[in-house]
Amino acid sequence: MTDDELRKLILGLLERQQTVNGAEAGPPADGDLDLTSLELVRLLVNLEDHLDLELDDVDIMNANFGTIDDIVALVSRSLSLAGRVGRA
Amino acid sequence: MTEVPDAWYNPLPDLGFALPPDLPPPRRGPRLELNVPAALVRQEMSRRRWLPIPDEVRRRYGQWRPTPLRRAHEFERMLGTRCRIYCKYEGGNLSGSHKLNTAVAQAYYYRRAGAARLTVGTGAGQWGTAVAAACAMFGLGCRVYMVRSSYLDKPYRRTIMELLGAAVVPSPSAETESGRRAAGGAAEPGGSLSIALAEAVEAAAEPGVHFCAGSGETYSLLHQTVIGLEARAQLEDLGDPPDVLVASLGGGSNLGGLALPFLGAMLRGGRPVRCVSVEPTACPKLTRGRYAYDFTEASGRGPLQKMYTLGHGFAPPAIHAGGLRYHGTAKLISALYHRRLIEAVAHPQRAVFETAVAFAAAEGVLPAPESAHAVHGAAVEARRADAEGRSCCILVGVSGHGLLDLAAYQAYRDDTMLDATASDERIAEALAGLPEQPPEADTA
Repeated sequence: MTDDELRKLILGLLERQQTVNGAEAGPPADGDLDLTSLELVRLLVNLEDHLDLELDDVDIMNANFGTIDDIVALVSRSLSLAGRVGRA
Repeated sequence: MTEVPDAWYNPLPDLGFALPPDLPPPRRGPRLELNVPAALVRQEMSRRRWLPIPDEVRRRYGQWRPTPLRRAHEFERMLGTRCRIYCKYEGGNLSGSHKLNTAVAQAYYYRRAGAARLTVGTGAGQWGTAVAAACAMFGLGCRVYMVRSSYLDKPYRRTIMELLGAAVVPSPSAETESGRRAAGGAAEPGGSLSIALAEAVEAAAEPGVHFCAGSGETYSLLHQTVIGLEARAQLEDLGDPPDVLVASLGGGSNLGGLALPFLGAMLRGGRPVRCVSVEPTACPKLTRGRYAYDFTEASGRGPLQKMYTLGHGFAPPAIHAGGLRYHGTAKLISALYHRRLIEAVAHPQRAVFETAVAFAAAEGVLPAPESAHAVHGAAVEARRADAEGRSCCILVGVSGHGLLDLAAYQAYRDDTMLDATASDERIAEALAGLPEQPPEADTA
């Protein structure tokens, strides 16, 4: 999965998560994250489900997320370690 | 013979409804660091009915589990009841309560996620002691913000926590903005759990330091199901399944831990069982609170959860069951109560202590003030069944011992203990401070 595909998947999951939460805003156009810590973990766990991948808890806990690209980097690294990624 | 369960029970697949989602708080920071190990959120989001207990946690459980389940023959005789009353006793560990069941699990997952230290808020001191014990097991540092009135009333709780290597700070403290604000307002000089939690949240700002939420989160309730799973197996061995479950309600983990495995079996078509939550009249969140989105603590930094609440600014009248002086209820327990899957009653503390003293003399177990509410609730259930000409089997959760709560029992003996009931005005004032509700908040 390429970084672009990952980005699209994250935006789709964010949109669904915000619909469930009744938020008015759509996914962030500028790529900035506007989530609580728990929402972010939920997003990551949803990503794990979609990608059939388990992210490393230490990597997640030590990461500092400001943008969608931060998440893409984390997931991409994990996919790479699992031999399942082609960056684009 | 009952063994330590090898999996926690997750009731979510059996409920037939989803829990209302948490909502983001109004205040947000520019960048996000995570406070909760993903492993705990995976459990909370899982659709699997059984969640395997890691070997290391199960090995620790084996130090005090399975916990005893015993029929309270002498207490039955004293009440003159035809009902059978069974007690599931959770006080036989260093923390003296059920709280260690989830503290061990949480400390395990925090350590695995690379945490170096945990911060916690504690009311009566049981949660603080449990996390201190769990941190000692897994080599984590621990900083406990303890409600000041409990800190003064229960010096030996502090001693245990410090022996375990934890730092204990009376709350409100001067260390945090939340503490300074609360102390400056002096509305609640003895502190409250909500303020202590807010201080613990603030203190988790350093790298490697994480706030350990406590007993109201859904994953905590899942960890506590070892209580009900064991009790089901133990009563099955005795051939005496319960008609009524009785447990006290603080945040909800004790009640949930006992009741969820029985309720789940009932929802899967098994034997009907009533589940009765007992709360103090001083903090009557199920019986007089509102089902609404609210903060879990006073800082307003965490997500909003839909719960039965008296308002996060509610300052309960002083009572001796500090663990029951919390404004809110776990969202899972709240959803069950909203759907009438559990019942709720409130009792004043003098009647509760009267029963607890009699129970101690009859059964040789001094219940914690929180657990005493459940014991009293069980006595009320037995008397009602007798009056209606019924015999029934009652299972009561005795969640902890009261050997570190002797100041409370002394106050009862000295006749200085007062009954406290939350006033309508105080509740209305706190509920007026609820955050703005989303449009769909009346549903779910």
